[in-house]
Amino acid sequence: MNDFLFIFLSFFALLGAFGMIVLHQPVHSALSLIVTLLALAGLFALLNASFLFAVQIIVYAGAILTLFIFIIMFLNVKESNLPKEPNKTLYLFLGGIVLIPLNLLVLRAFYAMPLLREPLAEDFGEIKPLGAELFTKWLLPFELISLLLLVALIGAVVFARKDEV
Amino acid sequence: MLEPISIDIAGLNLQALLPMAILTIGALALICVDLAVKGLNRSFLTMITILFIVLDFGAVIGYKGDVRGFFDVLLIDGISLIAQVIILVASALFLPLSMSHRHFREFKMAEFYALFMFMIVGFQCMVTSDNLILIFIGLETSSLALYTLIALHNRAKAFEAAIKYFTMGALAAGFYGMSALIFYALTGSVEIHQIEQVLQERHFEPLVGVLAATIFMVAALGFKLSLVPSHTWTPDVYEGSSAPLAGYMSIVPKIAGFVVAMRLFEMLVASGVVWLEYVLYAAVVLTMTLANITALVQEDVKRMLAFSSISHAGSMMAAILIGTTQANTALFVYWIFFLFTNLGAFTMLWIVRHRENLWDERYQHPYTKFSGLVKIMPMTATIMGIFMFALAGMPPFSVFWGKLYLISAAINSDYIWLAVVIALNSAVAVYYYMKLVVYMFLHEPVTIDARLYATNASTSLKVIVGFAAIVTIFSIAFVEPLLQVITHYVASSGF
Repeated sequence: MNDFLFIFLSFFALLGAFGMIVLHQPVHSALSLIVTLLALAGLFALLNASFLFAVQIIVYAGAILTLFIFIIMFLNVKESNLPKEPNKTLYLFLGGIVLIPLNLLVLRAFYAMPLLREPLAEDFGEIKPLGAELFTKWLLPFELISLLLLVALIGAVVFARKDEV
Repeated sequence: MLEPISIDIAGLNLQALLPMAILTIGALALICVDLAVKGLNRSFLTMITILFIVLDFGAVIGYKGDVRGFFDVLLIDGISLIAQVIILVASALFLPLSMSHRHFREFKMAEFYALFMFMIVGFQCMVTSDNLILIFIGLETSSLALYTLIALHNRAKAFEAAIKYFTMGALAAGFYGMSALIFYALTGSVEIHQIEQVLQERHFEPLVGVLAATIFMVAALGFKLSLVPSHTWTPDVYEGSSAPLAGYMSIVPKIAGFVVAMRLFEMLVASGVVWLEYVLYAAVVLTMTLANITALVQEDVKRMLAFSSISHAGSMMAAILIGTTQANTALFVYWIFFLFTNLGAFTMLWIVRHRENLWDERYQHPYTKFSGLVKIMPMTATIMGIFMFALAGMPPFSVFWGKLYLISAAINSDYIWLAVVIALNSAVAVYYYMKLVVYMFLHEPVTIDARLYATNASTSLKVIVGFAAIVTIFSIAFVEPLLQVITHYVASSGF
């Protein structure tokens, strides 16, 4: 059952990612990305990472992708504004071929990984141990991410009000 | 219910955070002040930012505390202190270039200075940690701020440059994440010293995993350090951004990247696995040689300087490949001298900047722009000539000492071929630097209007050029003490 679910979810994750690159309309690409993110949430659930499963659905599929689609619709991109992409299939195909050695390397690396032997802790993947980790050992990186977001925010605001100055 | 977590405050070593905290507070304060007071003056903003950088500098210099801090996430060792000093000095010297004669929109915005300080915080986090996650966050913070700073320069080319840099940076971030993931999966840790320990216990098995992680890391850091083949963004981004930022980009992000590379790659080179060394060897030789050859055919001085900085970064990677204390010392000495020389060269470009491309439709600073400069402005031409001589590595100017020390480090550790490649490349590099000198001193001027060459000159710019020129010319006086101090710090942190 687990294997079947894994293959099923992986298939949709790959299909969504493929669609995101191949589809011409930005809205279609964004919708296709939602499929990938939902499938990934399912994969997290298979790994018993309940918190990541919830976050993946609420934050990624729920909030971020909604924002993407909202912005794409807000910009109201016309068919004539989209870039022409002649030979897109050819380029994608060639790019895929170029990346094959890299993919093989990663694949072989993952097959050679040492496996985890000990059983997992009882509360693995729940929110409490994760929060405790984040607010003790990883406090500094966690707080620095807020700085990172602040930088991105300031940058966005500066560009948005650019023409007024 | 939740049991309370007790943490020993003294064990956190909060003092280690002081340098980053000063600039973060400074940046936040600047934004808040800007909300209350409209139309802050450009020189006020510059001075206040430099004040915070100086405070930060004091905190770094005066640091006396544990090497580790904050649950071992921070690591303040000798190389991190030297790197921070270089970052702060470079920032304090490049920022006043905003006080040019012409007014630029971005220098009137308080956000520019706030982002500049956030960027420095990011670089400082990168160098004061051996935790792959904190390094990543520092890298991204600084990169995001840098993209925005580039795009604030109100030119179409600046947008192009920022978007190019952003796209390539996103790709590099992906590579970095992949590499960190593989390292974590291999060893169960994201801290470089623990990764090293686990890998050594296991004699670097499984090798294919280490290979994959290394290749992704070379690609990710190679982007920041502009190593071949991920160097293609460099000339376009330098050309698109304003000269002060281009000069800044050629120094500060790279020293931060070198420190990360030093921490990570030296452990890999020391593993004794032969191909790990070959991967780096190929990157070093290709970077130096290809960048030099491409620089030969450039028609624009700024693009030439971009390729020259790629080639200099290549010789720095050679120091990391050699990996002895002497080589690492050479890296820092070289980069300090390169800082002052490049500061001078890019400031000169900033001074001769003109709003329109008068000399060439495509380029802003073609070689022909400088032809016969010695007859129009002898002083400018001479100083520019000195910087070119220094970049070419001619004695007794600054970069020569760095090169000399690097080559002797290579020979001392039996990297004879590497030394030969570095020496040959310096010989090739002489050609394109001297091309500018030949244009300035031996060609006939195309115009006799001296004002065209000084439209952006102001007292503060002249002071900075003068300072850079003095350091470049009299570098022979600083070499010995600098070497001693840096050797002490590098050796104390075990590199």
